[in-house]
Amino acid sequence: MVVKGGYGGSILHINLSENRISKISTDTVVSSKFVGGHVVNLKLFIERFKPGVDPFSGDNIVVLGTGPLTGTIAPCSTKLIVTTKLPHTGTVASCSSGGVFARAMKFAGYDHIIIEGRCEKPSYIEILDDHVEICDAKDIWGKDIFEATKWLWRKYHRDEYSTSCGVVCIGQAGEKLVSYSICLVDLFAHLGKGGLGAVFGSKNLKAIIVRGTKGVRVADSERFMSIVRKVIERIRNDKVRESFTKWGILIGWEYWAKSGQIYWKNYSEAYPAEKAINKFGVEVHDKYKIGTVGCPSCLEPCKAYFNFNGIELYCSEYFSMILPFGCKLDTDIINAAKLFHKANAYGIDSFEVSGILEFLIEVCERELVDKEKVFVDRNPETWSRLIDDIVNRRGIGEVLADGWSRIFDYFGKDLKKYAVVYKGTSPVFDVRTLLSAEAFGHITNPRGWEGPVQITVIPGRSVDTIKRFLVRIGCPDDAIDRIFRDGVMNTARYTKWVEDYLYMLNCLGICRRESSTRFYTTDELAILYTAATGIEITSRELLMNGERAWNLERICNFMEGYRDFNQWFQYPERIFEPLIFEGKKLEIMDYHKRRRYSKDEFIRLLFDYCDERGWNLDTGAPTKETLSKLGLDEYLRFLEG
Amino acid sequence: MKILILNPDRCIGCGTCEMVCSLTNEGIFNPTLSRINVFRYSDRGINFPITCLHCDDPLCSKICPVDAISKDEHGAVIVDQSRCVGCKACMMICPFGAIIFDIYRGEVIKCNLCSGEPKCAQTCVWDAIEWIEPTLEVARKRREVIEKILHYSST
Repeated sequence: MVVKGGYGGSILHINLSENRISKISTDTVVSSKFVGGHVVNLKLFIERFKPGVDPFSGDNIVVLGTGPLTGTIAPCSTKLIVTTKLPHTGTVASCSSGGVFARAMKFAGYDHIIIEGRCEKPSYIEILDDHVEICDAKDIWGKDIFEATKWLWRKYHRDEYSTSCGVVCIGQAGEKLVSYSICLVDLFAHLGKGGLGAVFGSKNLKAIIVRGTKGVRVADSERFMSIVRKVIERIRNDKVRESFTKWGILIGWEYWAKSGQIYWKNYSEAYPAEKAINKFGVEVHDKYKIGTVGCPSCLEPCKAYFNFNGIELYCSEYFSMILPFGCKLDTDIINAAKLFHKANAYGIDSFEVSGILEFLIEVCERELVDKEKVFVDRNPETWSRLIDDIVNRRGIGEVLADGWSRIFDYFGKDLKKYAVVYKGTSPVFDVRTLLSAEAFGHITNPRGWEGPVQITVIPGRSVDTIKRFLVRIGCPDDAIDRIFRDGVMNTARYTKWVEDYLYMLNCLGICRRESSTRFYTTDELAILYTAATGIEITSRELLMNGERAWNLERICNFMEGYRDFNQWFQYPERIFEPLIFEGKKLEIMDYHKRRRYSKDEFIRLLFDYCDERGWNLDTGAPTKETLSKLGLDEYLRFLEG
Repeated sequence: MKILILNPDRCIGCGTCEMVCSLTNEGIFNPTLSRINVFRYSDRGINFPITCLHCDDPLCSKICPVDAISKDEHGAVIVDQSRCVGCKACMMICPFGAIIFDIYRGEVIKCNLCSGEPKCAQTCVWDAIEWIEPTLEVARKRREVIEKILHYSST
């Protein structure tokens, strides 16, 4: 395939064990079937994947990817996608983040980076355009993410290259192989729920620094800019531009609070709405926000720089602090900020650590564990101490650091029913409050994390609004008919299409937040892709790239051993118990709250999901016909082997 | 006559200005070849656009030993590449660091106001870069001061 623009041109292959660095031409890998980012990550991954591999062994491969629109002027086009086998979930999955890194990687000339092997001693990777080197990390190993990243910033003159120098870095949690450790990208974006930080740590890889000065060309800049100008004008005229940029995704806080979408007490209750709004709402946010932080190319940034009485936070969203720490602990904003700062410094997932500690509170309260073994209460100081213990693997922290299976081995398998997790991941949404694609998608997602976040994240969208959205993303008419066939919105069928859409955005390198995506139609994205690369594509074909990525990820996990419907689609039993919210009992209903679903009916939704995907009902994996329709016949052998 | 105004307090650091500038002038998306740059300090919540302010009495023009720097009819300080000898004296003397050295071609490059239609100002949705009549800017600043005074006197 002759590519005329859009791509960086090379795929970098780094073998850490052998200190071997090689490059492959991107032209040999990309096409209209494999446009880039997520889907190409999986193509590169599956060819090298050894099923059953220990995520912490040198044989586990990590693939980093950017999209063909990354590094261009296209608004919100700075997405980094990382695919690997994750230790916390035991599944092959892809993580994504914003930050400067993806753009810097593209400017250095790389569309993807494949990392395999393991460094003999603590190291970091230095990529300065064509120069790639594995360097000694003795000055930063053992340091927290803030210190280590700032050390790299100074060494590589980040201040002078602030739009083209990126750092992915782990903290002590990753070094100590905490199974839910994460990376921070450029100190303000989170990456790697499910334990990417520990995968880096197992490779003795502290960080990757990349600086690129080459830029990106597009094949037809006039056509490219004609779409970009339209999108920019839409953003200029957007009525919520100012308020979104002021509050980020906190803009939805009041809706979530009032509909019972903020969970605590180990998902048995929703947090009281008034308390959530008064303690953590926009007024509190505004009091501590100092400035706006965003990814390059984003015109409605969602991140910010805060100062909470001396605790500086410039990491990701306020939301990731108040939900797992503020509300679950029922504490104040300053205590939540202290804990969030600690979690970020160590590089530990705030949602997952709070999920595990809430589980322990419940089993302690039920007196199901020996108090000598562990005692957890709803006290910020207890949580702070336990986070220190987990990261330093001290006392009970040694057990908690290894994740759920070690926790059940230690405390007893009968406690499993109190763990509210999807494939080992604590959820952020819950089907009992709102049967959105976001909540349903916890079950279908390869790492159990949130489903596809889009317009149904807010309750009460009208049928017409949802239908218009589906048309905009390129969902065909017959699928829209199936979604609304019975007079009730079928969230399972809907989830399939929005999953494909979000994975398609991951292929292009476009951010999936509504503050970005609502300004694009899939037709326009197809034109942008063609104008950038010179490769003709239709919007239908573009959306199929997302579907291909979804199917390839499922194939990887089939190879990994998830060969059975029930084994793949996991959900906690608690979702079939009522959720208490301000005296009401919430149970699973359709998105528009017109009818209640029994447990059997809810499980049948998973069959609808498989039907919409063209997946086998026994295996929960793609059929031969589906792979053929997607042009993935060559991957059939992985399902048969 | 219009002037280019930078409002760092409104800048969100998207860098769209850098991209449109490098595309217009060099046919590529590349901030290192852009005549305007945004310095983004995510650890301080600061975003700061910097480009040539097209001084009335430009030091760069004064120091140029071969008279390669002059002002055009739009008020832009421009470099005549055919005269430039690449001594970089202009780059050294500019108090704003607005003159850039293109490492690929080995010559100094700077903003030329896109011949009176600066693309950076056109694409900035946050009005952090504006191409406006100076009187309007003065009026706006005065209005902002009045609003501040009214705000403080009412609290």
